[in-house]
Amino acid sequence: MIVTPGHGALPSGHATEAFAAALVLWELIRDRGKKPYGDPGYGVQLMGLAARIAVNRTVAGVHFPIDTVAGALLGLTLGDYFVARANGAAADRTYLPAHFDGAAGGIGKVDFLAADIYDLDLPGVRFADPGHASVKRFDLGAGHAVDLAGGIPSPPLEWLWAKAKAEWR
Amino acid sequence: MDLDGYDGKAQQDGPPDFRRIVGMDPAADWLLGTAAPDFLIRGEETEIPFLLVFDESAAAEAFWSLVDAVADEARIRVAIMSRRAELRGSCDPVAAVAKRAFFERLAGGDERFFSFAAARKSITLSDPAYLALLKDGPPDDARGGGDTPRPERGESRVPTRRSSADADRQDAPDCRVVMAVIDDGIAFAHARLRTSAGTRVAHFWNMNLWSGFGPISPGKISGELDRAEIDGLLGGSVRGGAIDEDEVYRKAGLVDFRDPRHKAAALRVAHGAHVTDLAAGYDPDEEMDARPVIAVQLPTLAVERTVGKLLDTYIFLAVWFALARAKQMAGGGQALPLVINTSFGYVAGAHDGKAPLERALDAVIAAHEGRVQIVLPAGNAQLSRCHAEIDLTCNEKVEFDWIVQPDDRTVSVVEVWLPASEDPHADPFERIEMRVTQPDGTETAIAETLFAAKDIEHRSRWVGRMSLVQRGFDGRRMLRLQILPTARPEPDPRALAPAGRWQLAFSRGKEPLEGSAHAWSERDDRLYGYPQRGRQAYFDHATYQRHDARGFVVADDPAAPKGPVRRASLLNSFASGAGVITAGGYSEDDGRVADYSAGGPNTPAEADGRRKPDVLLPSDGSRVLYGVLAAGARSAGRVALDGTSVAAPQLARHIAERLAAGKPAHRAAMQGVADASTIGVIGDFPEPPERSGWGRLARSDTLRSVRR
Repeated sequence: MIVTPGHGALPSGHATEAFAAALVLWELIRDRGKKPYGDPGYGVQLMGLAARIAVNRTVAGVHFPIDTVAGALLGLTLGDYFVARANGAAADRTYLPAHFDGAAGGIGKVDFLAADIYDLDLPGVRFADPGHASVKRFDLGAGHAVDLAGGIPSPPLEWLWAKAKAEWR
Repeated sequence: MDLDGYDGKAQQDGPPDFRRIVGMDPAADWLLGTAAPDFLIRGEETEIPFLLVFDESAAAEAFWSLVDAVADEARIRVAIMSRRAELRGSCDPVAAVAKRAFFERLAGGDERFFSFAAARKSITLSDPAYLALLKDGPPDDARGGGDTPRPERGESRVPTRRSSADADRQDAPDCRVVMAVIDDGIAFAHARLRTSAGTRVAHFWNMNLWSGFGPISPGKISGELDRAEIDGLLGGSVRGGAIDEDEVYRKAGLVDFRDPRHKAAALRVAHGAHVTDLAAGYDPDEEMDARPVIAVQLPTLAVERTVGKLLDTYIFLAVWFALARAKQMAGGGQALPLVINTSFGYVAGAHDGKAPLERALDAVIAAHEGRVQIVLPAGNAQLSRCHAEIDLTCNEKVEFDWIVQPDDRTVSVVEVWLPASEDPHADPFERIEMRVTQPDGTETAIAETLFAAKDIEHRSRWVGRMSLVQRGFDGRRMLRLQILPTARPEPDPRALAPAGRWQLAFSRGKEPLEGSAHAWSERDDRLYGYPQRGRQAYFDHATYQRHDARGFVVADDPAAPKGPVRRASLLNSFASGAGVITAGGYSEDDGRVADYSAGGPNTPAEADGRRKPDVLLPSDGSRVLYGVLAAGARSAGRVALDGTSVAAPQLARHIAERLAAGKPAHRAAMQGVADASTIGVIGDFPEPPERSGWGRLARSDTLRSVRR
């Protein structure tokens, strides 16, 4: 028996952690470039596991689907930011802040559907096309893109990233 | 929604006595009367689905003219759901909806209603539950018909195939046999239901998304997906080269976490997914185009409530839907052969093959000359202690207990069927008296008199009702006892029935009773994965020994001591029809009949001709290997599930294979192919033929690969 929490449920911590971890791991093994880990199937499995972890909290009755949406968005954004700092300069990648509009998709109105949040068919894991009907609720804050090329790389994280990459055999 | 009883007496000027309608549902007094505030979830506007079976052509004539006569009156209008051009004027069973006002007029002696009210027929009310889901409408992007599937993108393992019209038309002689599965939690996107070209599911109907009372038209109905749409969903949900089935079900509205009700297809082990695989699952590379599938998801709330026979109309409608689509798929030719499996069952009933749903299904089978077969499970109630035999020919009095469990949040029901003579209408009254003693000693008694009814009170509050009900078409009588829940989870001012040992006593009346009466305690348990609501009430008697001296389960009634509480005749109460084919279960390893697999209807006059189950199929691996393996709710998942629910679809598979080979597969034919050599020679006790039917069938060769 899981007791209904006495505090606010948004965002889901499980979703945040699971998606942040999944995204970082996926970027890491892709960056390693070792076969067969570049296969998108690995990303699907990682993200699928994260989605499962997140949705199970709804099944357990301790989160609303919207909590998972917010948590996944937060986790992916944090993961994205982390990768940008750890590997941004090398990969010449940008980081895109996300905006969660709770009023647009309230409790009971939206279900969590992973494909609404991220898109595995784009190179790497990226947020789904904001033009997608279900994602209109989440204004990704276009215009907030930050060019990190030569921006805010973190030398300690870059060192850590290289070490982690080397461990992946 | 809480349909489970209501605290308050039926008022004198309240609803009329629905038992005065010939053939009315025995539960009508409860559902439309005392429990109406809970049952009629939209008040008087609630449209109640019902199944109507005619027993004389006059009844059909009266019904159709009544439908015409009240067509313009919104309050008493009847909407027909299973209409087809030729239905009017025929005696075929009808599924329809009407508001309570309609039944009140029927019972109230309105002149226009009289001839139909008095005609011989059977009416079974079903749960209006499915409407509840539609309060806010289906999910925005649920594919309820007409939506364009999302465009395919990325690399897909599911090339969109020919349009469904092309798929349904073939130049070569048609060797297709359609498998229809009516169940809960059908994972229609599962790989075992695909070929390399796309899905084999020709039509999927989610009754939870069904918005309408209109007839099932040749065009699409709400909640239905056809083959092209399912392929579109599959193709549009390819992520990283693989189909994301979670996404498919989310888009289809089958799994929606905004919906607080149970979502069977979201669980790893899903009844419907398992059953559908056993009935019609093939690996995609087997390219089994010859076995298209029609799948119907029953309304979740009606499935959840195991107590009461509230699924009947839905099951019949699903059968009707399958018939209509199988005809359509033939593209103008003769309707494709069709095998229908529904792995559901109840306990209480007359068990004489004459329940309304049984007669409706038998009518369907008889009308299609062997090209439509319906398979049902024997049920798992063998050890449920839910049957008692009341033999007053050699006993003055028969007494046993009815154990009503605490924390039962649903009503509990006992049906006592009195023996039927040649013409039950002519049976004398006052043959039997039934006395109920509550755990605290309060007694209530009822005798077999015309329209007898008694309220049961506990500490001056109304907690239940006993009544005499007479079946419409033949007049067979039943004493019915129904009590309130014993627990309500939320603070609730309504009364509770006391849990504990209720004593039931039956004694002779003024007239002699020929033969035994039989009591059944209605099924009231929790289905796998569902929240706990009902808890099974059961009978008990000092003579009933669950285990023998060695500690083994006693699976069949011993010759002695012979007490009233029996294991016999606990068959699924709508599986004793003359046309339906009933499957029991056995252990694949040693051939023993599964302990839970129930048997036998109990009308002595025709016992052998309708002995059930018909055939046994594997439902367990061995004493220690639980269940049989088949599909989990997602591709590549394989799970074990046991019970006669998994035996029935294996029988359906055999039947489909025989039909595909041009062999007869009606009930007698399937009895004929069963291996009868094992009857009575396996197990510790002589195996009663009542449970082993006409013998055993091994699993189909096409299921060999999924052996463990």
